[in-house]
Amino acid sequence: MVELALPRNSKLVEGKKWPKPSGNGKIRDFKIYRWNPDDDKNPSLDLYYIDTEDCGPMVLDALMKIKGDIDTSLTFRRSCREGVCGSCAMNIGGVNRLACTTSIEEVKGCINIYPLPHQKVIKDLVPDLKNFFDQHKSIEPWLQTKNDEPKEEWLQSKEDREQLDGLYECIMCACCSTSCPSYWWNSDKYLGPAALLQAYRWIIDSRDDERNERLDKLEDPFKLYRCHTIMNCAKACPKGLNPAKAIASIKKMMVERSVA
Amino acid sequence: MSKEINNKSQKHATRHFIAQRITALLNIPLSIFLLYLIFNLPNMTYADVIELFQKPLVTILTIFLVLNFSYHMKLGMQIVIEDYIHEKKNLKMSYILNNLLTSIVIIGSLYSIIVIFLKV
Repeated sequence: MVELALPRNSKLVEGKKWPKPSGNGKIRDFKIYRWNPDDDKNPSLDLYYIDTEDCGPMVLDALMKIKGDIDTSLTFRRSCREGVCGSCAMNIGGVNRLACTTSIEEVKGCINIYPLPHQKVIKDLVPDLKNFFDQHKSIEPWLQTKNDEPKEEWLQSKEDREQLDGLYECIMCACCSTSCPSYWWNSDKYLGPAALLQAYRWIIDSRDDERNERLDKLEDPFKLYRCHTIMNCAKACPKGLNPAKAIASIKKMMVERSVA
Repeated sequence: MSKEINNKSQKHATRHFIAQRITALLNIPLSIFLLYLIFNLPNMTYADVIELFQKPLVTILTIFLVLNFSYHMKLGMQIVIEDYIHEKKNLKMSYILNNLLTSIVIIGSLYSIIVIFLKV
């Protein structure tokens, strides 16, 4: 059955309250999820105070400030700090988003930061995304052709290239999949919005010759049809993409070839 | 989109999806018919109701309504069951209960409709 309550050792407890900075700037409260696999303690919410005038404007800046100046043990992923790599995806103020493109200003009140929902936690804000990337691998996200390789590159008309707009921009940050209730309940069998958006990106690519085989692989009550058009994915995507629309397009193709 | 899409692999997942959509669409006109019945029956006498349900068109529509609603309900419940119940044993039991409930609704309703239709 679906787990409605957290296991006893996963229940959140109140964590450490870190001292307030002495400056006269605007102080913001940050409550951050902490969990260390090396001790037997329950996860906790640590409270940090950040002087926003002594810190960059983004949530990632605040996290870097905490790690650099307050608590070096705080663990999180980050890399590009400009919304391209997708590493710093986390749940900020109740919404899955990228810490590097979320300004401190846009989150009202105390800023609560948790790891991406319903994933195993490796430490603090670092989720285990192995299953997520295995699912991405399972849709074979590369060009598959039956013709001989051209001397230069695979050509594509402008119109065919436009079909990939709104799909190729995905950075695989997992904000969409981990905001999807269907993915929460069945992430072992349902591919989730990110993998399905990527699947559609290759299905619709005019240069790819494996369209039917790709659709065959998705013909399953769980892999594709667990999407109930809840639309959390489109709401969560930090790049403004619409995985639900891509999934609906795959379903449409399935129906078309089924009744053809 | 210049490529042909074949229909080599038509497994049950897409058929289930299509059946769900078709029954949902048919539910729209059938719901209007149901609303007509709901709003008119309270003002009718017992004899009027019997007379109404003895009209062949009303009988056919009511049978169609019961079958379509029940099948749509069964398909929807199956999705909910698959979403939330993961243990094999419980899943199997839930499928059986879902089919049983649908069968009871269909048999009970059809029996009533036919009894009224044949009532002299």
